[in-house]
Amino acid sequence: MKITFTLNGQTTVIETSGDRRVLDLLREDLHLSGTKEGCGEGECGACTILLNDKPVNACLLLACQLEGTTVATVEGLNDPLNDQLDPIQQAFLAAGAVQCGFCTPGMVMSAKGLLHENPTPNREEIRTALAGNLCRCTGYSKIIDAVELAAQQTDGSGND
Amino acid sequence: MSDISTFNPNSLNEALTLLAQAPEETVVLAGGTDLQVRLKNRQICPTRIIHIGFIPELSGLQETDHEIQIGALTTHSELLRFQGQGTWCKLLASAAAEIGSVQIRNRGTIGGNLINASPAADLLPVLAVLEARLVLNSVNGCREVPIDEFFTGPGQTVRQPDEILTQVVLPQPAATETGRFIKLGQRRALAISKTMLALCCEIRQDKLHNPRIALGAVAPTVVRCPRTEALLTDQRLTDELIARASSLVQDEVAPISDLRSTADYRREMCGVLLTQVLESAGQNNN
Repeated sequence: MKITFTLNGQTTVIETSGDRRVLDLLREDLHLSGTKEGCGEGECGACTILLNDKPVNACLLLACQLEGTTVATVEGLNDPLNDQLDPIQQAFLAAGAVQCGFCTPGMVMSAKGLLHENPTPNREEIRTALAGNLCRCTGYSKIIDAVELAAQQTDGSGND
Repeated sequence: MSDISTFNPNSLNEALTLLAQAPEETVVLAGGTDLQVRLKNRQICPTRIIHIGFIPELSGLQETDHEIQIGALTTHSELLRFQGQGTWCKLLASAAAEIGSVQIRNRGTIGGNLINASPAADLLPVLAVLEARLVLNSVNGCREVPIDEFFTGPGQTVRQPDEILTQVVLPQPAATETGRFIKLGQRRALAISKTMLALCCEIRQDKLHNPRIALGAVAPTVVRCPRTEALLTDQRLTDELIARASSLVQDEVAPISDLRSTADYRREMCGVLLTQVLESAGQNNN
């Protein structure tokens, strides 16, 4: 099956089985290994990507479902022209919200999806938005601090 | 490459025709939040997948004077965002909010929740008290099935292999209708329910009129509680009546013990949840 979609801002055409898992497509065929596999069942959020600006689990998506969509992975966050980190990534660093780092791409993408829809979330809204992302290391509070910080720094306009 | 043939039809007719070619070997894929888990674990081994996620006729919401028609592809996130006035809107939103996580809600659909027919499916108690009708299409035509005839067992419905669920239809509610939904789970997210209860009723002059009570995760399918409903019909809510109802409802369920909970706990929680929703419904009519 030939599938045409937009990936991190670029039109991408691939030929693959329609039932190929998007997680595998990204990691193995497109060599974008930032998106992680934790459970493969939609229960941990390590594989979170944005599909048409909305956070989804890549482990539950099949290639045939990508046709005509816009996909964003963690690799697409930083600005390739000047290699500057996305404000969310900067906030995670500033807040000390990364320990082993395995949950981090998924957390960052969920946060990206949240701030796109709600640029000024309160702490409860951040918790709800991240409820589908598990972390075994941090105890979550610095991750929530990081998302709060990112929201303050972008002040809803996407600019620093 | 894969042994499975995948199709991306752009219209309902195209999907139904494809399905009719080999219904027993085909699965119909909407959001995939339940189906993909079963495919991955090889609980099902189809040779064909028909992905219906791009079919426009299966999306959207229409309201007429008599009905609300909800496309089967409506996601749980979309149910959360419905800005409507009727009880149906708030009840569906409160159940949809309890499903999984943001990621799951962005892909999971009302149709998928119905067809997957888990005994613990979160939307089902609400759809049961709203007396939903489910529209099934095939190449041979179309039929409507009332929700109380739709489920035949855990994970089983009356859908024939050549049918696709296309719409969920709700009657427009009475003006004084109110409803409540509560889910008990191990966590606030990503939790399969231990016990759930939905109530819908009208409050007329301090009396409960046309009460509908449905319980989930406490029987092989979602269940209504006709004896408890009869006990409460056209009665003023008193503490004594609520206590009697909470005792009776425990006789109308058949819970099992499993990894999430014991039968005794589930049974007792049916009474506790009913007490909570009745006290709440009695206090304010929203």
